[in-house]
Amino acid sequence: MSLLEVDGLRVRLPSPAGPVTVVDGVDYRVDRGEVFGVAGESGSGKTMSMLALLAVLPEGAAVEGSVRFDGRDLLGLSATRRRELAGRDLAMVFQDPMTSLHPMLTVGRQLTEHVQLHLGFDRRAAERRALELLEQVRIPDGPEALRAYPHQFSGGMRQRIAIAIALACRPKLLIADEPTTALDVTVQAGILRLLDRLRREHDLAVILITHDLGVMSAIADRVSIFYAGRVVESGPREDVLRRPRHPYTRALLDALPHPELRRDQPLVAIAGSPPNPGSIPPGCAFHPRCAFAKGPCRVDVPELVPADGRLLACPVDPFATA
Amino acid sequence: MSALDLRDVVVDYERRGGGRVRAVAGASINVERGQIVGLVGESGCGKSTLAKAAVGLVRPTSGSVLFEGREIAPLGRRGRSRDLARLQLVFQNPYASLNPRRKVGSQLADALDTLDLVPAAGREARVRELCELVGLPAAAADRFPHEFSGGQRQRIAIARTLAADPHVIVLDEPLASLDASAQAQLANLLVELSRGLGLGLLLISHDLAIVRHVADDVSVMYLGRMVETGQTARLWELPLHPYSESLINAIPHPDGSGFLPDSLPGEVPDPAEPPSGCRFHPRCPYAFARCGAEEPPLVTLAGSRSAACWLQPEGAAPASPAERADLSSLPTSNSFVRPTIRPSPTEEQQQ
Repeated sequence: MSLLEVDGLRVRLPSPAGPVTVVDGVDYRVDRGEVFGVAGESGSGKTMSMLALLAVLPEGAAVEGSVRFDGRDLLGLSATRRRELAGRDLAMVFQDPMTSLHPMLTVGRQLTEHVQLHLGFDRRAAERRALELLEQVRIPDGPEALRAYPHQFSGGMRQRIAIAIALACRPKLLIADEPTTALDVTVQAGILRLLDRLRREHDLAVILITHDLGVMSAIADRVSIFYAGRVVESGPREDVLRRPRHPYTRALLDALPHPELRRDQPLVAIAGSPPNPGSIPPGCAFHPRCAFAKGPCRVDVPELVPADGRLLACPVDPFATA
Repeated sequence: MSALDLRDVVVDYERRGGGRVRAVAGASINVERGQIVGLVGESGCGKSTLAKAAVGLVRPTSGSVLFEGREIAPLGRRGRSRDLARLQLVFQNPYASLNPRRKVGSQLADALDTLDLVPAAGREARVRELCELVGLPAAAADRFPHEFSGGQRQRIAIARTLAADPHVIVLDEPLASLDASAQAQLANLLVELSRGLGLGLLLISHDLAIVRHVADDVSVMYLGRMVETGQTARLWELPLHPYSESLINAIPHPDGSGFLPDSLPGEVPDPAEPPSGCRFHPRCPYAFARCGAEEPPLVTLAGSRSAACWLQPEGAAPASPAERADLSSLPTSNSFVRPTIRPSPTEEQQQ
């Protein structure tokens, strides 16, 4: 049994024009100690599908499907119970650590409050734990750092502090939403190494949401590519990123500059832009931008089916090897 | 004569509560027409300040900024001379620089009106032409900025600078916050415009992969100074400065290989208190005694490359820092205390 089992997850958000489906039937598994990568352009539903797990969706959102976390049915729990769990066994870090760190409270207060509330530690024990956490995320001068405020740290350090807070109650699953997007590459590499160490040393499961396939390629074991609220391709990192089979995965990779590309060769951009959740094209949502679309692509929503060691939602399968 | 020529530019900022910060500590960069020059470095290295100095938005404390041979006067209350309109700037966030309540066409027409480059009767046609020049349909002129995606808005911002028939455009992080596909489209557009219109572009970006692809030349900046400049392809193939090398090694590879990029220990120091000697020495894996004592000048090496590193002697053939470090440690190994200062163990150490 996997730590997290998500089946047929659907999220609908209210909008002036009626409910809009932003996540449309998504399945995935995440094991202990595994980094599961979720990639896709903005608006593909990757963040919403994670917020649904934590019960922190916007008001009026409707969630369907089944989510089993550590053997428990997550969606069956009350929102209050789920949020309790969310602070302890499931934790999340965001792109901009300043949105999750309180600017007026010391790092120490933010680190200890958490363990006092969720684990019932007294102040002394909470402070010991806080120092241990800072050490774990490699923040130097722990005692001094505890007395400092978030603005006194650099962007990379703040992200480490946000990760320390997320780890405070020894979660089993960490959801990291674009954790390195706002950082310099040199600092990004440090955060990726940190996440990689945490999963190896603490058996932490990590869901890494990113639009950057390079970041994904660095530490994800398995990846899912989202498009318009659905998974179009999913499987082991090597298979999906090295031998992409879905035209969308392929197009995402082709849009990236790479060393073999000559300077006078233009980059290959994907035609058009991703659809709005309110107006998803019928059939395969990618068909209007796809160079390989055929008649049925405009009508039938493709099923995600096993193909060559991965799951693929493209019956045309133009990059089939056989 | 370069189209844009920044020489030994120094920019000091007053710090609140007294004290001065040297954001740019003597940096030079040249842009020719038809050339794309990349400027890379970590945040806080002074690249945006240098961009502002390049277009006259901040006054350099010393050094000179010449555009087509003429000194750039900082922007004052009386606006700027007409000739300087040939030098344009594009910001990171196009939504902040476009008026959300006015149609794209009228904002482009404003630029034409102000400069009076096109007779009134031809302005509407020119507006449509500008839209097409940046790959938008002519009908885009009749729409509002919010009707466009981020990448398209950045095109509109570029179209507006093109209204001035510029010779050089300085672009400060124009590709940040765009999806890969939109980035690719914009990167292609920049190359097309530069080649097609003979535009010089100074492209400031922390996205090294894009810079590598589009820039002819690249300058690497660290804490207010250029540490290496050269042809982009050569610099990437064989970075001469340890900092350039660290930046390149930190880029992840989107190839499914599981390559875990190298992190650079420590952080960019406070520019108000730069380290002694070479500003990079506390983070440099090759640093030796001299690095902490004397600041290396940017010197020219063989193959029209430049680097500011004690490991790279003037006129020498290009060789990697590691190779140089080994060479110089052979005869005078006793003078070679390596490294002088261990970088603080704040970043993940290499496995």
